[in-house]
Amino acid sequence: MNGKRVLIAATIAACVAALVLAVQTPPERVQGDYAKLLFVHLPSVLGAYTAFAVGLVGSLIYLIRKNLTADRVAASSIEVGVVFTALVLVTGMIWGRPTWGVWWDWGDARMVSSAFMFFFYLGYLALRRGVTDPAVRARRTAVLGVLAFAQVPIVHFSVTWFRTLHQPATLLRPDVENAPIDPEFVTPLLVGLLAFLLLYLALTVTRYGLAVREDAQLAAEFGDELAGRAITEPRLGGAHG
Amino acid sequence: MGDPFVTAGYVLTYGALALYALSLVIRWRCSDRSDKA
Repeated sequence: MNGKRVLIAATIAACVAALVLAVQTPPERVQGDYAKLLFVHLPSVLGAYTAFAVGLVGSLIYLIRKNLTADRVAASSIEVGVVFTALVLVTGMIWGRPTWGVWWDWGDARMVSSAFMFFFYLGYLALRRGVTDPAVRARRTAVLGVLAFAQVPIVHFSVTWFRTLHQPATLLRPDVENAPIDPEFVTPLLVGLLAFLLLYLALTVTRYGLAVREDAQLAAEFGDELAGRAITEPRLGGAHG
Repeated sequence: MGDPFVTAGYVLTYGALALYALSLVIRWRCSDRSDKA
């Protein structure tokens, strides 16, 4: 519990530092203050990528070892990742309106692939809600968690593969030493990235604790009569078969 | 930071994250209460 409090305190401190640095950063030469949206947009992207990568690892571990802890970690991480992805979409739209002149462009590869990824992972959360038996739920969502991750590289490289409205990656690129970013923007961006990684950790740890508690309540309520075990499997060959 | 678009971006981002964190705390408290009931 003490470790969790330290994590929460560090997260709050990093968020305050990120906000102060963002306010103090001078306006960008072309975009003015709009460029400061980078300090929330890019950290949200990194938070989402990290969350879905942890979701992939947790899902794979579950499929190999049938470990429910790995399943809970994957589900908790993916839920937090969905929140970050929603923020990526919203901050991207808010940034796009004054700089590109549009809130949304259905022809843009990055926007459309990000939206598709968001709704796919929402489907993951919906599937989790739809199945009560922990083992059945874990198996089905683990398969979906592995399949869903295929979209992360598609979203990331969409700006390289398709030349549409969204600009290429700023930091997450092979030639990061040639990143097109002014040194004055680097420190607030790095502090923002650290703050959002800590936020991701704090939220996932909290969500994981809640998942453990929810599963314990479910087991206490239903015991061995959970849906997956209580319902007999469908068989062909009936009156209409 | 005075621009409404930039302000909206920051308020929405940090506001949404704070609301999500609050929802987790509330769910935790509610499950704690139903445990004791």
